[in-house]
Amino acid sequence: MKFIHTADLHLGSPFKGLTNLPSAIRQAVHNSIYQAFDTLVAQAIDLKVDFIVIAGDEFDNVERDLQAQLYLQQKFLELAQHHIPVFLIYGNHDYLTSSQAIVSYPSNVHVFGPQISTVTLKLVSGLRIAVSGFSYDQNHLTANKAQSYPARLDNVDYQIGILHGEIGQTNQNNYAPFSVEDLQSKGYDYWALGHIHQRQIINKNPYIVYPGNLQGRHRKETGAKGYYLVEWDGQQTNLEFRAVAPIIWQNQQLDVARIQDLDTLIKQITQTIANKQNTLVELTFTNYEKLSTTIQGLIDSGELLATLQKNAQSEHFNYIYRFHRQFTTKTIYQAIDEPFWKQAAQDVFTKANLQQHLGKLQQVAAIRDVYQNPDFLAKLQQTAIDIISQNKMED
Amino acid sequence: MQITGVNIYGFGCFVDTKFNFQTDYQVILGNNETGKTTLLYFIRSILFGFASARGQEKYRRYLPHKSSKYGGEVYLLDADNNHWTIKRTKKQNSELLTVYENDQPKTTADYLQLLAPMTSDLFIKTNFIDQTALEQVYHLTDDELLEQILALGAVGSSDWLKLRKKLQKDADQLYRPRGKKYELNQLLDKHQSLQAQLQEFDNENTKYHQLQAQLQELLQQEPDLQQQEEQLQQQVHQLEELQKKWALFQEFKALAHTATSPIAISATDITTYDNLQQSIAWNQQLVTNLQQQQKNSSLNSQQQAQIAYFLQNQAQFQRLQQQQQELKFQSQYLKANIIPQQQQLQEQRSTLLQHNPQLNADLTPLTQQQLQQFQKLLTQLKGQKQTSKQTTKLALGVLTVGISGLVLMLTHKWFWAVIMFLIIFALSWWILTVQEAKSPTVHIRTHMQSFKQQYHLDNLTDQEVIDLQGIIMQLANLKQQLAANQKQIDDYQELRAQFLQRLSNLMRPVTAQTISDVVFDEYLRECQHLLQLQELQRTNHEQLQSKLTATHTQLTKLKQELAELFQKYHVDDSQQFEQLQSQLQQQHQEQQRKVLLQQTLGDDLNQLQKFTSLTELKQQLKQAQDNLQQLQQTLHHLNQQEAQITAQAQQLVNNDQYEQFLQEIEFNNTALTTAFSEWIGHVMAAQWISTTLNYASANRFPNLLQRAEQLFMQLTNGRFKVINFVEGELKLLTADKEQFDVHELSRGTAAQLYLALNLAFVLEVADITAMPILIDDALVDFDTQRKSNIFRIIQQMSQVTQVIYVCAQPPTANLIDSEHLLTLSR
Repeated sequence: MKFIHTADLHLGSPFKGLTNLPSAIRQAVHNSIYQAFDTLVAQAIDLKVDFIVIAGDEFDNVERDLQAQLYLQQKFLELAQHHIPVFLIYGNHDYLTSSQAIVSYPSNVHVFGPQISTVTLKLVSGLRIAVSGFSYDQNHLTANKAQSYPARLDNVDYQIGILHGEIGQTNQNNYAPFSVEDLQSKGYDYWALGHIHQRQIINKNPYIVYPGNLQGRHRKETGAKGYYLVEWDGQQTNLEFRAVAPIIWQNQQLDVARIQDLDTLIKQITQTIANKQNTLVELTFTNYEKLSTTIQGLIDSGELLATLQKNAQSEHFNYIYRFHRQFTTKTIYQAIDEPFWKQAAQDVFTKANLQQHLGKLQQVAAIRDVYQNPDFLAKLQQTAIDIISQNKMED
Repeated sequence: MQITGVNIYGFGCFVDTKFNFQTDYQVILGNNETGKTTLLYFIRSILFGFASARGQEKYRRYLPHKSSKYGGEVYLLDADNNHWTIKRTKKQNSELLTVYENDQPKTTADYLQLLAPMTSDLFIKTNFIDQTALEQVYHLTDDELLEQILALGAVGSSDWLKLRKKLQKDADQLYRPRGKKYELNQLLDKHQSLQAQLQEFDNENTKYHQLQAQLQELLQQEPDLQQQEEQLQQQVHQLEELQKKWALFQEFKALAHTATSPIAISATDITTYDNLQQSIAWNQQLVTNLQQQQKNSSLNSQQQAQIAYFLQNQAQFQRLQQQQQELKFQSQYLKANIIPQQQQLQEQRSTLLQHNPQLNADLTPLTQQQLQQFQKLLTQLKGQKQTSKQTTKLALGVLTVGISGLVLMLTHKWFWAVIMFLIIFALSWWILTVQEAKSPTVHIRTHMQSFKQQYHLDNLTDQEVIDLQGIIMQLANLKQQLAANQKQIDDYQELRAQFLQRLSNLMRPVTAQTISDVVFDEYLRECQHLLQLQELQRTNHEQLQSKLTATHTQLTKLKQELAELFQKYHVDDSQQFEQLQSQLQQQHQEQQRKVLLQQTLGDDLNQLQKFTSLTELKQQLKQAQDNLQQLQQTLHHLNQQEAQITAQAQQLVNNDQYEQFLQEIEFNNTALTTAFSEWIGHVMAAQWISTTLNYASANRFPNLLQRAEQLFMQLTNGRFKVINFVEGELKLLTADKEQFDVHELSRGTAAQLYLALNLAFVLEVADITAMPILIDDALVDFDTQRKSNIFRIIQQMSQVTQVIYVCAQPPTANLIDSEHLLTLSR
């Protein structure tokens, strides 16, 4: 018996953290999420899997994106033609709304409702599989839903729990918080989780697994992305990760301490970012202060990045979307003044003080998202240090 | 900590130069270009490292002009009276620092610990005072000066103030709340417009749903219309069919009125009639043929005449035929025997005559008697002339040969010799012969000659006459035989001529041809043939006659039968019969046509009968066609609408504009947040700096002001006595208790205040770090009085820490002893 466990497709999601892309790469980016799922479906058919489990967040924004919905319908039809059942729940991104009724899925797709339910499936081999799960019907679920899952059925060979959520305390977490013990206590064979985009196997007996998302969409979703092919031989469950993301996000570092001239720099950049797969790269220059002012000027003005971006191939690309300059920060102030700097920082880097500067900028959601980030103030102080440090060096 | 001395290996203009310093303070005098400033930078470089080659720093390196060695030693004395040697050299970018404490080598870490919390940076900012710090006071606005003064509580405050300003400026270049052109402002504008567009973006789901509903509605209308269309099409089709059949219908109607005849000729009778007609015709033809045959089998008149003539003269013809046969045999005989014999005989004669040319064919042989007579004559003659003749002839021969030889000798030509020989010989021979005749035997000879003439033997010699008698005999026999043969031939020819004459006479009436054997034979054969033919025809004729009779009988019988048939149908002849038959046949055909039409029209017949005219039918068809067209248009329109809606829906499905737009928004968001982070980073950094400076000043000013008051009093020649720091502001009190704000001070006094505070801060820091203070001619702009005050200040400062002061002009009076004074020269 084998099945595919995937989650967090986020169909229709834009890529974040990019300011611009050449049109060909932009198109590749636009296609990538669909392409990843195309590959999954093709492999499912090819591998003749018994069924597919999708643990929520199929859509990035279900209310608006018709294209994504019709795409998924089309893909499910394709799977229906090959008699591959799909068990699907909705997550916090695509929780059940009335407007969803517009697209209907073929009969091979079972969508779990907002109440936890269990369906059983009898495979051609005679094996009986039970699948339990539920869909979000609102953005946030603070209750522990895992505890409410039914106990393992007696008459099934394998039972799977699908859950979109994260480990946490009841009422302190918005995404159906649970504990590993909660899941273990149910006696299921496999917990197909969704929500966390970083692939991870939380537990092996039984397997409690986040497959991660299919295609990274920003700088924090780095590395290969794909799904888990789960095989059960009647005794043991084996997992095989299969990468399908056509575009990989990478955060690369390049120590520029010893780089003297532009040619060497470009050569080393090219070597650092070289990858057989299509990549979007954030390149961090460490020891940036060691670079000559001329080269720094080329980097600071954006000229070097623009040139590299312009030269990026579109068929196979390792595209640098951002240079990050990292300084080996010396203490910007004298030890004898340190108390005053610290005292001042406590005054300056506060939410209240920040808000005084923001004014109408607070109305912009994207900006709010930035400064409402819990570690924003700490980062801001580091940014200030970097700025001061860089400026002092320029003197 | 104090500097006790330096040992310069090579630095600027100094090469292998040593100086010792006083541990409280040291004034170093020197004109321009004597290395005052170089010396201070040497100390700084050895203690804290050589200046780098980058930026402004590169002018502070002081690479030695005249030495390959760069660096030197600085000797320190710490608070515990330990002697430290700090040795720093640089060779090809590698800086080497060696440190000894009381001649014991120490690590760099030990040394840094000795310096702490002093750093290179701090030393430059606090313990290294030159004109620049003071000069800037004169370039500041009042507010800036106040700000500078108020910020003096922190290390490097003026630099910090500059940086703060720059950061604020940078921040302002990114964003201003009421700005337009700045990056963040522009990104915000774009963000706003994108958001507005997003609002305008139709809710695709709803639209798709609406389109689907519309499509369903249209699709529901379709079957009904399609049914109507089908019905109308059927109607049109039916009417078109009726229209096509209209002509047939008319024909059918016309046929409906034709009557049917009661009479009918039976099929058997028709067959009988046809057979009879055929038989009669056949028999008649037979008669004609037979008659023709009869006619053909008679001989023509010419032939009959020919036969008659032949039969009439048959006996004569037979006789002639027999005669012809005999002649033919004779002719064959002649040809086979006589003619060849004749030829042979003639050849024999010719041969003989050729051999004996002196003879001719008609000679008659001599009789025995005649021959004896001639022999007698000859014998007589021979006896007479035998001797003389012999000698003469011999002499003649010799003579001839001799003359011929002579001629040959004379002429050398054989030709002429032979000719000559012959001529002479012939002449001689002739002469001899002539002489003979005249011989005594002439008589005999004459006799002999006449004998010969008598028997025509003139051409023969006497001997030949005797010798050739046999031949002559032969010739005579041949002549006789030839004559006999010729007679036979002539006889045959005569008979033949007679025969031809008779035949010619007989055949003249029957042929114009020249009579010949062939013609005769041909004629006979022809006659024979005609006779045979005549016999044959006679037999044939009898047979034909019998056949003819039989046919006539048959014909009569057939005609009788036909007459009976005509009678049966009351017609007189076959023309009438056939007319009747044709009439009946037409009636039958019409009947059949009618049935066929009825079948073809079928059910339509009833429909057709409803219409009075074709026009009416056409009108109804036109109406139906119009109706159909109208309905089809409606349907077409409906289909178009459906297609349009489907296309719209498909477009919505295919349209990735929305997702592309979301990406566009994300691009903007990234740019926006990046610019925002940059901006707020700058804003906060600037604020952090100013806040820090405030804290530093607020903390340090109470201490600072005590030192500053004394310094300020010195610098103002005792005019100002008190500096108060109240609520973040400085108040200055004169000796007369007069109070000034900073901005009320003259620029010179403000500069003195700044210097006082600055020096106070340096002393404050020096108090903590205990590092020497290096002053580079910082007070150059002061008047004489104030300049001398400086030396007092230096002495005052040296109570806190060692001061090394370099200047161009010596202090007035005996303010400083010679130990504390070091003069540099070129």
